[in-house]
Amino acid sequence: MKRITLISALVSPFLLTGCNFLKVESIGKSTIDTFFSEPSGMIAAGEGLHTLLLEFFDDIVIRCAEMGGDMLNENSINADEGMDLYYNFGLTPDYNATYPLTAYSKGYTVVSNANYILKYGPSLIEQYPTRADEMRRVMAYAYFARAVAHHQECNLYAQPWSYTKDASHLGMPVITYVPGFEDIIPRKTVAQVYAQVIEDLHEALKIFNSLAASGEETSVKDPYHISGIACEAMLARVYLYKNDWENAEKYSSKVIAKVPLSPRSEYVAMFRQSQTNKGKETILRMNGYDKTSSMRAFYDPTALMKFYPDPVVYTWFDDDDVRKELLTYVGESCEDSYAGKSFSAVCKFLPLKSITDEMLRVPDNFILRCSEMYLIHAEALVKGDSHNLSAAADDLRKLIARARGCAESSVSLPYTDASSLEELIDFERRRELAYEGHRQFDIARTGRDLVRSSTSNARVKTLKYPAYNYILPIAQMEMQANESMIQNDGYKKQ
Amino acid sequence: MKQSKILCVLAALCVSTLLFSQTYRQVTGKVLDTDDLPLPGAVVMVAGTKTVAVADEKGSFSLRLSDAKNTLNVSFLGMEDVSVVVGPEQSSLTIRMKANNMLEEVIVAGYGVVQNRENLTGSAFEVKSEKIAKLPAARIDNLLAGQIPGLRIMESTTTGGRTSIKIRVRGEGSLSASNEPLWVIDGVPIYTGTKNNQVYGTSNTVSPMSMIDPEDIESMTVLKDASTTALYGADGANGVILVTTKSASGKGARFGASVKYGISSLDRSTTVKRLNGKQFLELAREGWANAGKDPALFPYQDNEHNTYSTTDTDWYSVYCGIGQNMQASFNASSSSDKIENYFTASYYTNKSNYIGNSQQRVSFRNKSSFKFTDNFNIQVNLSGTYNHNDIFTIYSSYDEIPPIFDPYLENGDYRLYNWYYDDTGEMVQKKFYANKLPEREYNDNYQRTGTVQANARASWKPFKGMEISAVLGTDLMNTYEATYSDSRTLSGMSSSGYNGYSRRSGVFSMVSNGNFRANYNRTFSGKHSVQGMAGIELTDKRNEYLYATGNGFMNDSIKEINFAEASTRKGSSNAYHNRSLSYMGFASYSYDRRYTITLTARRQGYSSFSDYSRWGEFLSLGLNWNVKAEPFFNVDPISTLNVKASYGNNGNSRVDTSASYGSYSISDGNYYGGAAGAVRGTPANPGLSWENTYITNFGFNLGFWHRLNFSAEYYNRRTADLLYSGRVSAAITSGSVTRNVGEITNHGFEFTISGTPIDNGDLTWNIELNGSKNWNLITKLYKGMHTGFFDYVWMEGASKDAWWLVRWAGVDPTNGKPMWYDIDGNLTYTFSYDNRVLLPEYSHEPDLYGGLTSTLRWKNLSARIVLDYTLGGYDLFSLLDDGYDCIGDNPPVEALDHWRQSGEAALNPAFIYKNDSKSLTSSTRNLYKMTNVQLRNITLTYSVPKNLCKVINLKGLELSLIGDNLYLWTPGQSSKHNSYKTLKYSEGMTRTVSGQISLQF
Repeated sequence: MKRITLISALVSPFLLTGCNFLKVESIGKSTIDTFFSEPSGMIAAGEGLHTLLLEFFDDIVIRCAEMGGDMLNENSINADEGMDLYYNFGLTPDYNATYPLTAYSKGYTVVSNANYILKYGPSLIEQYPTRADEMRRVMAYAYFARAVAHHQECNLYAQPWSYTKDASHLGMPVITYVPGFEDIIPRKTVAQVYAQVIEDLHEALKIFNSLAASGEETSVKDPYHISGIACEAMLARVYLYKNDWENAEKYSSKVIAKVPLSPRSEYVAMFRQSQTNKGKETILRMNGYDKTSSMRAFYDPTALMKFYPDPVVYTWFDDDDVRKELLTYVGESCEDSYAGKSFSAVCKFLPLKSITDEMLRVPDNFILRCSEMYLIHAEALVKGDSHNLSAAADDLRKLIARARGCAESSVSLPYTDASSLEELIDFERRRELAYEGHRQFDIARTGRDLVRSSTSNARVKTLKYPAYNYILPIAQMEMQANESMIQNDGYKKQ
Repeated sequence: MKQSKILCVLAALCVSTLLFSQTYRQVTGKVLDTDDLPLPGAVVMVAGTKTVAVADEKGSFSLRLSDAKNTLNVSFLGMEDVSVVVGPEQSSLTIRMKANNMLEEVIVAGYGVVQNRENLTGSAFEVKSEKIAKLPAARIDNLLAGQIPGLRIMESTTTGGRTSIKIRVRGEGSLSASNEPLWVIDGVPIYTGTKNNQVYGTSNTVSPMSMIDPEDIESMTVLKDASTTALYGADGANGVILVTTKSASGKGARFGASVKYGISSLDRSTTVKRLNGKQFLELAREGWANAGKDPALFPYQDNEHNTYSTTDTDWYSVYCGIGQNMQASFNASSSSDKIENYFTASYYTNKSNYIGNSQQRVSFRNKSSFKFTDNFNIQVNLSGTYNHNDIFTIYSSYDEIPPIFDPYLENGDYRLYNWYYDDTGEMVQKKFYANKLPEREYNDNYQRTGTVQANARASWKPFKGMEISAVLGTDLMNTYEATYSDSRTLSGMSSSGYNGYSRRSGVFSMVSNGNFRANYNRTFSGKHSVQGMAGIELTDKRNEYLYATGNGFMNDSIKEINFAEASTRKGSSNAYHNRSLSYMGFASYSYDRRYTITLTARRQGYSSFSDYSRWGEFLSLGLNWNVKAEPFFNVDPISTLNVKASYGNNGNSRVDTSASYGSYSISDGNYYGGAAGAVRGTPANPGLSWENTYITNFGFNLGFWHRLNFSAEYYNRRTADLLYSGRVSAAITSGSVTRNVGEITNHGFEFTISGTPIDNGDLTWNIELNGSKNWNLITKLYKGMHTGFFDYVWMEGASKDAWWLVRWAGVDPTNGKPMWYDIDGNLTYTFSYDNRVLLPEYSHEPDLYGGLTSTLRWKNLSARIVLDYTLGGYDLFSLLDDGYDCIGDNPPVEALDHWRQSGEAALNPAFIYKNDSKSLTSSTRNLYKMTNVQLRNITLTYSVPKNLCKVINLKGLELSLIGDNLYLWTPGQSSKHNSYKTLKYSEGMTRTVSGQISLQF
């Protein structure tokens, strides 16, 4: 009996403690529920969302819009196969290595993270009322990020708004919730995608305005984070893309009134010493602090440069145009073997090597800056009902005068009618927003043919609009994993 | 009383034989065991007569024999029968007997459960120390190569000469969870890395398997079927490898010591054959010209910096040399009534033939057993190792570096730059990243690891047959890794002026295990054997790591992060933690050693699964019929016959620990503007649970004359609730997600033939051959969807080992273009992944694989040979690129044989630089048959005779000559072209020759 008591005494603690024994959590990767159980998780998720947006633009949007444009030449030694295929419009669905797949997944990673914030946000705000404002701001970030990602996915994978009369052609999936593994994720029409994008931007704007003391933001306080003004600017861009001239004009003027252009003297520094000049005409730019930008490697002539400007681009600028300076890389004195040598290169993403702190020697990619608003404004004025050509020309003059450091009155704009002014606006977009991730989408949006210059080294020099390969194919892997996915016309298997 | 009766009978027999004899002589002898201890009571019979003698207390006997040649048959309980021939002139002899392990051998199944070999219901295969002795001491897992039926070791030499090993027991039963077996040393599971045997937290993995001294091992038992592995529940599905370390044996104090020294070198006949400098340049020029490029712009033209035309670098001899290894070990064993102790210590060092890589290991192990009273006993096992590994990683396929580059400058300095023409016709200076010699010389990359395995076991026997025991064990492994990129190397140079890059990391892993159980084992009335076990087991696994990096150092001898430029210092840490809790039981009943039934059960909970799918139940049933023990069965030549069957399930839980809850991860990379940032890792999958593997096993053992044994098993492993990491729409997550979907079946057979064709006192020959065949079939997948990879596919109704490739159709003789068959079998010039077809006839699974071990012993000389073989099966290697990168990579010799002019029937297409034919993409062209025989080990040992040993005061002295990886044979091998022989080891096979002296005193 004594023995049996002893045995039972030895054994019973283990039988009883069993259930709690297994309640441990793997640290580092926090489970989603745990992560969103406190405001700090929301805040960190908001920052992480910015990181994802940065990566989406840095790895995908900015370069794709230029590789598919008409202003770059390829350095075939360093450009990888995916880049070469993109540049020459040769990507096919079974090319799963890079673009058709990554352009899709990086955009929707932004969407997915935004959806988690929007899912957990409301209950957290309720639980922690004292920190509600901080968390509402994060929710606004999420609405904005979700809108931008959906919009850019449409640019990459769907034909532009005017491809069909009512934009009823294939757009991209619209995801506004956290989907389960079994959920069907179909493509929506372009009109439906834009409707959601605009709704999200307005939702974000509403939150930002309610957080602003005066009921509306009057200046960009933190250019590294999404703001109410960024929402207005993005609305201006999206309305332009959907040919809604009235709203495009409305929102671009709102932003122009709040954000000044930076002077000529600070133009280069705004790109090449971005961390110390972050606020210059910025509406939103991504903080590259302590990040490795892949755009740097993309254009750096002293590293593995993949692309450089088509020589024809240099002929577009007057000699006093400050923007031309950003197209020639001159080795600094701290670069031993490159010192003093000059190379044809896109310098907008190449911070000065003389910046000693490596963490600060980073490009802070622009998502939105004010000069784009002038260009949107001008285009909306010309194409909109008002047909106010002279006001539009004034917008262009502002940008040209700033770039050349001359008086606006001395800038001559040789336009005779709306269409010739439209050409000038397109020309100015190419010069002002060169290599900042707009070109291919501008060509498609305005229904132009792609015409590369005689000095271009691309194998494909012209594409007639509309062309199936203006946009990317859906990757084969996605076609397999998502039964409801529809392939873009022209890429379907015969 | 009985004895005296026998003696009387014997005496009578002796007298009767006397009456009929003609001429007699007196012969005296001794019967001893292998340790030279006498065997009193051994019965010596003279064949063909009725003469019998019984050995006395000293093992001595004496016989009267006829003058002619006589044969003596000697028998002793528990020993193998021996026949000895006595020559006509011989008057004395010594007979040595070996323990008869065919009969008495027990199989240890863990948790105190033992089964007699003849009554074994499940599948367990044991390898004793003598079969793995003197094999390479670098690590313990590849000792099993070729030794165990159904166990396949796939080793590849990773860059840097370190071996990476995959072990598969009876095929791969999982798609996304681990396929590696569970390792248990002296009852305590050990840390073997992640599901793919990688170590978290370090930049390079040094296998935990290299931190155990193989000489400590007494035996390794591999458990394969449900009735044996179900005791291990989760993680038992891929098989369990039980390692038992050596213990004290025999009375009194014994000592042993050995020293082994070996030299190793790359077997050049096993490396890929590539072009020499002249051939390379010729072919590159041809490819360049064929691409329509201007020959004047050919990149490699002699200049003041590079003389391409006369350089011919053999990269193998640049990176490889002669390696050396040495192992010195000492052991001491003592045993008394109360205390038994076994201690061993050893030092192992291996300078790899891949220059810059070395391993050093200092280890000790102590095993003590204290008998406090007759029914209370404590056993303490303690072992520790210290390991220092220097690592130099060459980037993979370094042999593809064009031979026209010289790693040195004319003045003997390392070359950092090459000069050649670029596209625009300008001479440019290019960094020579491929030259790793400066990194080998200047950079640091080392790991220091300390491991401790400690376990203590207390057992109490409250009444007869009952034993209650508690085992507490822990396996600790702490690694410090330091890497430094020197400013004199390209990797350490920085354009920012912050030269030198340093990374320091620490990894701490700990497995703690406690198990508490009651074992009952008793035989009633000599016929009813009952065994039972009930227990609880708790396991806790932690893995923590941290690292810091920095660059910008004053000079290259200051390497600590503390002195790095402040703004560059970074660091991070992370941890993994999981636990499991199990209740288990075992019961067996055996009637008269004839009929045996075993029942195993385990219920296990695992912390990484969410609440409602946390627990798994594992059950199995085993049966054995020992036919030989049946009274009706007396077929004389048959010495063993039993049949067995088992059925049951076990699990596999080794998946990413956060898969069921989904994860948000906070890391450096997600920080934004220096503020903490987090992004979603894996999405949540709350239903995720165990994989369940149902194993059916049938087998039999058949032995003749105690000398020839044949055993075979058939198995069927069906894995349901397959943990499958598959893609969902990239709109949900770009990564793959783990789900319990699908079913996979592995079935196959294994056989072992072992025998002693020759066995008379002086000469014995043992041979053991095993072979296995496995068939794999995916029977069910998520929604019946298939998941395609580049060259294989997971598809319902197909084997996961079958290749999925476009069929190569050769070269069009008219234009030199590559051709393939499209999906309908028509010829096409265009490569498309859409034309991939499943090729069951080309499977990665061999037709038969196994090994052969044989020992030949003649007097004091013995020779052992270990080889393994693979018959059939195909592997994929991308060797030829038909000029696609003929500027950057050195092609194999086969590239010389390509199409040049119309009408030429060529093996390979036209050779064109940057051609867009995609002929380098995987197709059936890249398949190579895996048939090969590898001579893994030959060991020759001379044991100095005992009487000679005595002169120098030793109990034993052995001299051995050992050769490892001496030869690799494949059909179709040739010194002129590549074959599986040159591809099996991606960086060539390392051959080692060693000598060893072992002594006992």
